[in-house]
Amino acid sequence: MDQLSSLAGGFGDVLTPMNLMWVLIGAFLGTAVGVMPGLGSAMAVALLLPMTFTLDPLAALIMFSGIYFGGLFGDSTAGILMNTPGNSTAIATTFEGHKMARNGRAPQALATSAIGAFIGSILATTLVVFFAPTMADLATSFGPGEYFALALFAFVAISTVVSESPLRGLAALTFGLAFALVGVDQSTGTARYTFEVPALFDGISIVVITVAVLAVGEVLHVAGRHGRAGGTELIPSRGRPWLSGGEFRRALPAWLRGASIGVPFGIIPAGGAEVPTFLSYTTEKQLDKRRDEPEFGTGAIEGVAGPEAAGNATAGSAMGALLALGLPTSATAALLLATFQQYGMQPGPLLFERNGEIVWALLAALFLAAIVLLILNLPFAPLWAKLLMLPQSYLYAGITVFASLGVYATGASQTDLVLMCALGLLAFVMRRNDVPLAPVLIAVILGPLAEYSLRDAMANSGNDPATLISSPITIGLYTLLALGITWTVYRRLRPPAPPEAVAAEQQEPVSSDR
Amino acid sequence: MSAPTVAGEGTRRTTPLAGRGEIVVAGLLLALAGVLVHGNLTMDVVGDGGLLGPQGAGWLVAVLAVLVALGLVRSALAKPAPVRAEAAQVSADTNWRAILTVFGGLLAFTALIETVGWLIMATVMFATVATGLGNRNLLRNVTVGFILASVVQITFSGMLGLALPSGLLGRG
Repeated sequence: MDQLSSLAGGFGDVLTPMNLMWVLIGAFLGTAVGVMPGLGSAMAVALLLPMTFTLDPLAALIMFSGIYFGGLFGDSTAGILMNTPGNSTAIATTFEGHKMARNGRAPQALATSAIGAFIGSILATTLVVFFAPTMADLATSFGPGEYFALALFAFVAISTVVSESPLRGLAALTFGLAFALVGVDQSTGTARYTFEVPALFDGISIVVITVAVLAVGEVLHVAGRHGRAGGTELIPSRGRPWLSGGEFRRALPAWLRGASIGVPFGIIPAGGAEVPTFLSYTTEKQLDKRRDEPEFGTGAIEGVAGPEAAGNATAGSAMGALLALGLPTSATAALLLATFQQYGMQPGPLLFERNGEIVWALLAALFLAAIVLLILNLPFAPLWAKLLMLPQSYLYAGITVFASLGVYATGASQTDLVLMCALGLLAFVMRRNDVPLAPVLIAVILGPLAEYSLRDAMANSGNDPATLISSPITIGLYTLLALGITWTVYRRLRPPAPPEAVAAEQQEPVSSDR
Repeated sequence: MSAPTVAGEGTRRTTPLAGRGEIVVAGLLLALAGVLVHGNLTMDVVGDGGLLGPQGAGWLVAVLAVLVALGLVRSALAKPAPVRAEAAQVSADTNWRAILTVFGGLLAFTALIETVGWLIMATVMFATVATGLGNRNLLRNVTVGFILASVVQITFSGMLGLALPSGLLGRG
């Protein structure tokens, strides 16, 4: 059990008063940003990235583990109390969670979500501890063909299978792919689409794109709707913040089912936890129908427990994919990748050998973060909700200030601010036309991987396209992709789903306006 | 919190573009394709990049952009009238003044951050956005913005050692 002794070493590194403080600060700030309407965990990481620049790598990564899980929890808090999930991954939790809150069971919904997040995170991180080194070994046999297949899989999955309108998904994907092309070409050193602007030689930073697309676009969207219909109300959370024995017994199997649905999805680059959270929601709903008195639609505790555990389990195993394969499977993971690279570390098969100590400390910190968050959130979730009572004008003015700070502080470059304004405007136009934003980020993240693996594959094989489908892994991925497309086409040709299901599917990541 | 509707928006409904916002997205995609093609044609290629080279991906994305743009235009033209009317209504309901105010604040910050400095520009941007979002208490907006900007300046410059431009105040 090499892993256990390495992990013990990791805990040894993390369990110092200073590092514990970083976990605590990270969890605190992550939750605070996540709770804000319209801001999710990806934004929490993007906005707080500049704060870590002056820290040493270990402290920075430890703080990030807190921010990472904290942001996820904050997403659900806003969803349960205000029906405004901070991230698309919290939508599934919101359906039943908000209904529970409406029925005066807000504290129980928050507690169910906190415990679910804890179980999902712990389970996934444990699996990462045991299997990440094996995955890293496996990944050493990955060639450019395999990586290209993975990236292509992610593109098609996020833009056509997951999103509502394939055409709009592809439009978003195209923008992202184009942004990823800007900068000096890694293999020849040619400056591409930089138009003689030196600041563009390094490409457009992922921080700039994330902040512009998610925060600036959101602020402009909110401004456009100001004074118009569609206000939201905050449901106060009062009463016992714990679960009764009966509630606990009902939630426990849902937590475990949710977590086991969530874990495998962290490794698949399909844009994060939307799919597993919805799968878990549907599973719980189907199980609920078999009861004598179905509770779904009136605030069923399983509907909160399952998706929440699934979301955090996906986030946990996404960390494994990032560390072992170097493959970011969500926007948040991509920002963590940027953090690693900033300290000169390259996640991937070799990370465990080269920077083993830091990796194990990070995994230990993830366990700690999950525990800290449980302690922080179980009793204090109603206090977090007070953040939602800030006047909207100050909230969004503050977000704008922090967004600009985050963008400017990463490079001290005015060009980055100009890009932020332009991309924010683009994101606003996209949101107004129901173009999803997630494919933009996935394309920016995996675009370079797709391009360079394709070029490497061609160069290695003397331009033989057959090399792309020459291994069992690539054939498996393309088969899975073909099945996904077939299923999507079938689903669209079928008679329309009942109104309730359609409404559920059409809900936007930030649904404050519906 | 109900601001008056912006006048003159109602007239837009009759134009062929009304309720067909996809065309704007399609236009942006075509512009993107244009930039990529222009970039590829004027690119100063260094060395031998193999089959695709540094331009290959650019061509692929440009073709994808044109195809998606055409698809969007087609779907916009085929849109049934009720759906169009609904989309046009959403567009007519937009508070353009608030959007322009907020965006103006961002542009001012972008343009002046290095000459005027963080403290003043962050305060100005905060107050502009808060005012744009309907908070008419200008004095309080400026005060809250100034406090926030100062706290950020103290935390980042003072404690974390991250340089924020001091601008005018630094020289005085």
